Amino acid sequence: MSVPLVVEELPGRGLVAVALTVGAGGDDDPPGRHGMAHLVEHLMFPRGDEGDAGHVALVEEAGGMCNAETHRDHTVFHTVVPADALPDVLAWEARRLLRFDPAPATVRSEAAVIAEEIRAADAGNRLWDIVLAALHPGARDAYGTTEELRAATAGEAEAFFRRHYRPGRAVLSVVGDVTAGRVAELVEREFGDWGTSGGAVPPGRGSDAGPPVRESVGRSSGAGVPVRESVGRGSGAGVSLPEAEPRAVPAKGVGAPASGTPVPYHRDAVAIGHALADPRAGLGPYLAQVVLCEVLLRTRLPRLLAGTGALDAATVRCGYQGQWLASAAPDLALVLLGRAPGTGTEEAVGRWLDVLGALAAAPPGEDELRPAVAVLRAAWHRQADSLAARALAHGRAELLFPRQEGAAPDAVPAHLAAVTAADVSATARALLTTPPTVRTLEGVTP
Amino acid sequence: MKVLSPPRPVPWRDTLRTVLANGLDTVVVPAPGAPLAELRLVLPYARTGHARTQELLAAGLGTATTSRDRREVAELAAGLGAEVSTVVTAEHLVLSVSVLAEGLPAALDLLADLLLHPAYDPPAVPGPAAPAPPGPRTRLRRAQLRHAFGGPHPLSDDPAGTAVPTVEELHALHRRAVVPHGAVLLLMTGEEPDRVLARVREALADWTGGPSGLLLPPFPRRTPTPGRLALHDPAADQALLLTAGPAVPAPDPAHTALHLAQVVLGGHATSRLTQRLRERHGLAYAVDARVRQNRAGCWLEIDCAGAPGTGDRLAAEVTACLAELAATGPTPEEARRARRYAAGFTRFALATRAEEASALAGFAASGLPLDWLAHYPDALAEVSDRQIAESAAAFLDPARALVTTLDRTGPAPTGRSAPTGRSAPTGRSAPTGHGR
Repeated sequence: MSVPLVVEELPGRGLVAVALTVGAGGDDDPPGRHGMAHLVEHLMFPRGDEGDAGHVALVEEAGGMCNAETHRDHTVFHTVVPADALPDVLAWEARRLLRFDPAPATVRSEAAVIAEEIRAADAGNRLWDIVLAALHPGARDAYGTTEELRAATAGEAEAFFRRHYRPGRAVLSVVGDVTAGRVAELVEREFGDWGTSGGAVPPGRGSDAGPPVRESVGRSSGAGVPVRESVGRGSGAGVSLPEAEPRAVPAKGVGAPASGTPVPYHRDAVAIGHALADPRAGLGPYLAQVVLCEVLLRTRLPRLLAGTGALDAATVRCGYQGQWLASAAPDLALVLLGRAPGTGTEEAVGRWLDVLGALAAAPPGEDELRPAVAVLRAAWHRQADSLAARALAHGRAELLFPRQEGAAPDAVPAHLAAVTAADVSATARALLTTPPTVRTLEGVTP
Repeated sequence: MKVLSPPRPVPWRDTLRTVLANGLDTVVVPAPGAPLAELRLVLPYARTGHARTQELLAAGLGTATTSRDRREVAELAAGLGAEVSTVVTAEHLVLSVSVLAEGLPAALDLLADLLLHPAYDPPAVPGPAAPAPPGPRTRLRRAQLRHAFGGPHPLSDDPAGTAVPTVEELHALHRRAVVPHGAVLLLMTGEEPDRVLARVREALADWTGGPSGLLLPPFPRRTPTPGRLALHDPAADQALLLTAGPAVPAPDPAHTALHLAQVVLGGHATSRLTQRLRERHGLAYAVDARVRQNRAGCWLEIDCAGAPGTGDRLAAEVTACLAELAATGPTPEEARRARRYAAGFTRFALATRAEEASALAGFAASGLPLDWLAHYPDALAEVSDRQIAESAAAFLDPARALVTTLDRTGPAPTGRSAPTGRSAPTGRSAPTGHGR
């Protein structure tokens, strides 16, 4: 079958964005090879050799830029170029799929590059990973584990690629100064052979070209980090970073639902994780959670801080690493409370549950709801101003949320605006029905 | 295949530009159907003898008014889906507002309040920590400009006036600098331009004053004094290089060929400097070339960083690279790649509405035609290989460039401020004719 194609004609800017979204990410890492999806993403940027420019150089020379992200449940490659370079870009895109053949030396050097990324990213991501793993046992980030990647071979990378990089598990989205007919023609020309050549496909999950949404039964709830690469000039698509910087971490996955071993941190605090509803089960309830978190952040948590000396900082972020609607993998809202001297974990958690309970008992006022929704709508529009971000959103909507009409880039703000105070209150009640994960964070002197 | 072709609600109309009665140069750019309105206010803000006051004003502008404290301004902005921010460049203070389209009228009222009735927090006593001493990059930059173009000049002198100002001094600077005459206001919105203009007139009717005179003065010399300047900093953890060569600014027709010669020289993966310094010799962590242009002047700059101790080697390789390209010009393949790369780069400056609003406001404030960048890809396509070669011969000749380095080795600095060749103890640092 040919790769599903989404085209948005957006004339005027002289540019076109192409996103290839593949329905495989960190959750698909084979046992003992944590980070294989991330490694294959790196290997999808073939380097040049004598007489043959590398992928990034080709895109740059066309006046464009390219980048990629590995998430827990998908990997996306995105490129923006002047519109007249579309035929070239689609040819290069197809070429790197059809000729995926990493040399052992390249595998080793990219594994080393990833090891450096893991090292650099670790501090900022640990807290998210700890809480996510505690909330969804077995969950892991999508970056990988250096020791496991060090042993990865070219054959393993190729096997992963052949298993998962298939037209039935991918979406191509093209946004910009193009006509749909011409795009379809070019895609047929360049991608017609994808999936029909390239040797035997190992049997097993993922080779069946089924719908890209993955069944959640019997799967580990793999956690993942949206891994952003810095290839080319970078792009505006994406994300925010966590402010938390834990200093050291116990072995991952040790988190019992209760407090467990205190986690060393730069200050005394508590981290609380609430499981979020699955966006695939309904966009309305999912977006109500996003609005709830914004209301908490904007008004309720500042009010809590003003009214007590027991806590001296309070934030809440919706979606793994603060990204929402960026993945369909099991997700969380993360609450961070700074404990003033003498405040125990239990007391801090109690105060948080009181705040959530108050919203569960009585809906927020319009004066709270309106700014929260306006800020979220405006932020979404700002992101969707970028062609690359639009192409990404189309790819995700098609691949991860195929039954949710509202997940397309221009539809989300209207859905946010439709969230009512009663919806927010109902969401707060829903969050309270499942016990959150709590981790005590203990200040260590540097 | 799924196809989406969003309808364009209103036919595109021309940009509206007019100077209001208060002297405010106002530009309305139609963006039919845009969910957000973008607003940019560009104020001349060249550095004066009150650097600290300017810094604190820029940090406080847009955050509070006499009738609304910080929290109230933030709440009002949130209700409109608005983000208010300021940026200071070498010559401008830019106040940006991005707001949900329906919130534009209220955002204009908020803007008027912020401009007319500002409130500044009293700077803490004894005041925020004094600005850190300039880092190696800044010291090198100031020395480069001082040598190349002479002084005194705000871009090359160490900033004066670092004492913590009073609230009264902040208000006095606000009255002088935050004025309509000499400023540019650009609005990009889907609303009908005449209606937008009427709203601006009404909201900002009481805002008067200016011009502030805070324009960046031209450098004493128009073309850089060539030579070689080596600064010594035993603490440097990198060798840094900056050059200043002659250049011609946009939108002068000769700029286009020079821009292409510059792209062949440096700025992307297969440009000469990258190939030579990074790929072939593994010398540079980063190397870039660009044409710099502002009210002070225009120059071709190469910016390069390498391992400590490699400053002289970097200078030699950069000089050789310049000489080679000036002598023989680009290959046809290089010229072709440069045209493509430059055309794409141009389009990226206008890739989003927010970026386009910022770019157009900058053009308006710098006296460039608003549409020059939109037509620029056509101009790039028309430049011949021969014209690029001629431009390279004229502007890339190393005998016309100042090559400046800062490294662990070399003459020691004599003072706290940027060392200059004049004060350096050995002859190596004095600008010496180079290349010929």
